[in-house]
Amino acid sequence: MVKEILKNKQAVIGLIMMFIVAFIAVFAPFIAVNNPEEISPAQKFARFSGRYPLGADQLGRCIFSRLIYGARYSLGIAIPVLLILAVISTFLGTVSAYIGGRFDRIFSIFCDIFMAFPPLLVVLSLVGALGQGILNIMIAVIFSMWVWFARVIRSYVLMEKKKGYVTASKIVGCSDIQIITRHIIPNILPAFIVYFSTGVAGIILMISGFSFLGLGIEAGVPEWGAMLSSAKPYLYSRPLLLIYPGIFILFTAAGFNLFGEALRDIISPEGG
Amino acid sequence: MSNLLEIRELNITLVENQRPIVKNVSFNVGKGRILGIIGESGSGKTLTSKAIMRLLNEKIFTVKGQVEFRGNNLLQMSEREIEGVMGKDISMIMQNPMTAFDPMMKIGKQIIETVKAHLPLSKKQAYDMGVQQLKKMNLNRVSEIMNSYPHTLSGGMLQRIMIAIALLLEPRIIIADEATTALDVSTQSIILDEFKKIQDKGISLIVVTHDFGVIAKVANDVIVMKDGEIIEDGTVHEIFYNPKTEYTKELLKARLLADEVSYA
Amino acid sequence: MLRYISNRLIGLIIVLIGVTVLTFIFSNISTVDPAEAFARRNILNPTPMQIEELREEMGLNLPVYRQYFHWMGESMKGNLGISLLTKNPVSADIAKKMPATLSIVGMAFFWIVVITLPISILSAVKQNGVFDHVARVITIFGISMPNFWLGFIMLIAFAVVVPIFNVVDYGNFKSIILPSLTLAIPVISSSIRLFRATILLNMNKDFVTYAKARGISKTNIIWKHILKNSLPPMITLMCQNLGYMIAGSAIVESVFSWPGIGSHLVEAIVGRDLPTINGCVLVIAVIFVLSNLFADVVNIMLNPKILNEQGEF
Repeated sequence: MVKEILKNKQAVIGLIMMFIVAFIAVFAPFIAVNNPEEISPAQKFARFSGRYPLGADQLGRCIFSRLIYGARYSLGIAIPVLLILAVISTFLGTVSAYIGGRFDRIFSIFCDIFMAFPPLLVVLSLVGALGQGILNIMIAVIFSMWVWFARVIRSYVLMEKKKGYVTASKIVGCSDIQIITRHIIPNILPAFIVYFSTGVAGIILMISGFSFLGLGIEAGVPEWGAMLSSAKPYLYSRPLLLIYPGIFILFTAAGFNLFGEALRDIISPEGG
Repeated sequence: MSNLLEIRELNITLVENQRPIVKNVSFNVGKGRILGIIGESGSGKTLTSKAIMRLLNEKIFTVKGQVEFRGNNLLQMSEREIEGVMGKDISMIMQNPMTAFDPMMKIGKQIIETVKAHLPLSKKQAYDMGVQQLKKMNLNRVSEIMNSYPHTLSGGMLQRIMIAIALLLEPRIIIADEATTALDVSTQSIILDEFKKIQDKGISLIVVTHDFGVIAKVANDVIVMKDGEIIEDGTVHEIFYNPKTEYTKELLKARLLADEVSYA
Repeated sequence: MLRYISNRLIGLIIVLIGVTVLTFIFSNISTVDPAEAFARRNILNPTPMQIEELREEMGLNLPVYRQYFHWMGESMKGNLGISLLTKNPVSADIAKKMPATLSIVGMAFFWIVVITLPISILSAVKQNGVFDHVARVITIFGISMPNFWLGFIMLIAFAVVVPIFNVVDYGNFKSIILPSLTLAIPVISSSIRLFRATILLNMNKDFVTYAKARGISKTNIIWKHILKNSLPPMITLMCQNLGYMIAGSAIVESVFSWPGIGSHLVEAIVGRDLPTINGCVLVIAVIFVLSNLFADVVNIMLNPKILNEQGEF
């Protein structure tokens, strides 16, 4: 598996891109040249210089440093959200599919109800109710996405359940928990990674979208979506202020998507 | 005895790593004869039959050699030319009747489409031809069948429809690839009887199978394939009573054992 | 068939009831007291007395389940309450804002169909060709791009560098092109990837081999067999996209200052206008459910086999 990934050009490019973003996020204090939140009115819209590698923004803050710190917000929100999503949806999807019967049917109806809301809409209404703030956005995103993940996991588990080994393990005397943790979950793991890798990209885009709308993250925080939002008035006069953060979002999301999709091709080549 | 189809030095390799899968296969199909190709799965028998009909994906397989049919090499025909031969002069009966038909198109439409691909007839004429042919196969309520989607019909029925389509345009040769494998025993013998009737019309057949029972019932000539090569060929009588290779003997023995088990 | 439809209708009713309950729950987990919020907006320095009176007037003193039935009953009559911000009936505000959103969503839908179909077909038929590779690279960027950013790039490109589109005026036909494209491009990218994969999957199906063996021409195989069989998942996706785009219009409308339902909803959220939030969420969710139902019906008409596969709810 690892060998096949390293042989696949697309997967390697995706991995490198993911690694670069992770590196930037971890070592942001060493890479950034200035304090990203330091305001110096004298430097408003400063041009490119040694001190300001990409110039300064409307409040005289170092654009380069803000972009670097932005990686922390992007990954720092998306990855915890993803982990929580993974735990919740794996638990619910697996249990529902494994127990089956009436329980599974009721769970499906429950899912149908949640799926009647486009995820963006759930987040919008939850943020509307809970109020703003990073934590609320994270809760809202989890609340809006779990059902889509759980549904997919459930269908994977149902497919595995049909295979002979589950019955065989039961005959040999494995407990249900053993069957789930030692057999079913390892078997669905590759498909799971594919789904979650592309999921990260989706979450990153979603969160940047909300901070762009001014929901969730306070103005001034060096988050890429928020930077775009606050640069909106300078669209025509300083277009670069808008272009930079977008490139960072694109780069990050593309890394996860490239890797996820390449992995999917490796796992199930017939789809192309 | 003149040959209808002559296969010379057929070689199939994988595009990806040039690995040979079918090696130097040569054989003839006589006019009005039934040739059985037997082998285990992976022996290359199905690939050989598909290569003859140009049904292999060119991106995956490279096919070299000659398939001589009425003075033409099928392997060198243009796409347009081969479309004219397929279904008209050479037709095919597929392994799994349940998946061979387009699930979203009614049987009648699939029959009409086949006729119209080869003959300049109206829809009505093509429809009537289909009805006639289905009736000849002893199928009942033919107009109902024509108006059905494939999933509503049974495997045995679909297999007979497939034979009807194969016979529709009076072909010279029919290739049946494991055509009875997916069917139950009684339907199987009905289908094999149909093969005999096809032969009586002077049409040649290639029957690809892993089952010596099928060969014993219908074939005149046999080739035995293993690992992409022909290891033995001859008439049915020669192969059954005087097999030359150990492999053929093993296959026959396995068949006899299977019979014993099923009779016990 | 009938049994399927009745099962489906029962399912639909359950889902719609669930939708209203969920919408109601979303609005009730709020930490804000709506009566107080309403009072503060309308009365200078409201007294606790006044707030209590308002609470009673708005029915907020009732037990939660009765509030729900009250709200639900009124919603069925088309009364979604009064907006705290505009003081208009929420339904009237939605009716006023909806056409603007539907016009960009409709236009975006047009782009999606017109662009997705030919590109994915060409990509799949010439799999691994130059065109296919270029399409795959572009679409992976398409699905990785925040669409508001794409909107800005287009604004900069077309309004400043090549000024052919009128970007500021709302209402003019040319002004709809950029917002609808912005909304459509990410959807187009993901649709192309999905449709291409579906076509490729169908190309390797038995029925295609059999059609070839019957001498059906390549063009007919592609159009009459492969594409027809690839349509059902596409129709489902397209109808789902309709709902996504109405919700997603919030972002695009903000970029292009487009006065539609999305930006209306965002304004309501920022202003904590609960009746408006509930109303918008309910309307969008209902549209989403109905468009999914529509997709199912179309698919069954195209392919009755689905009935056999999922006869039960």
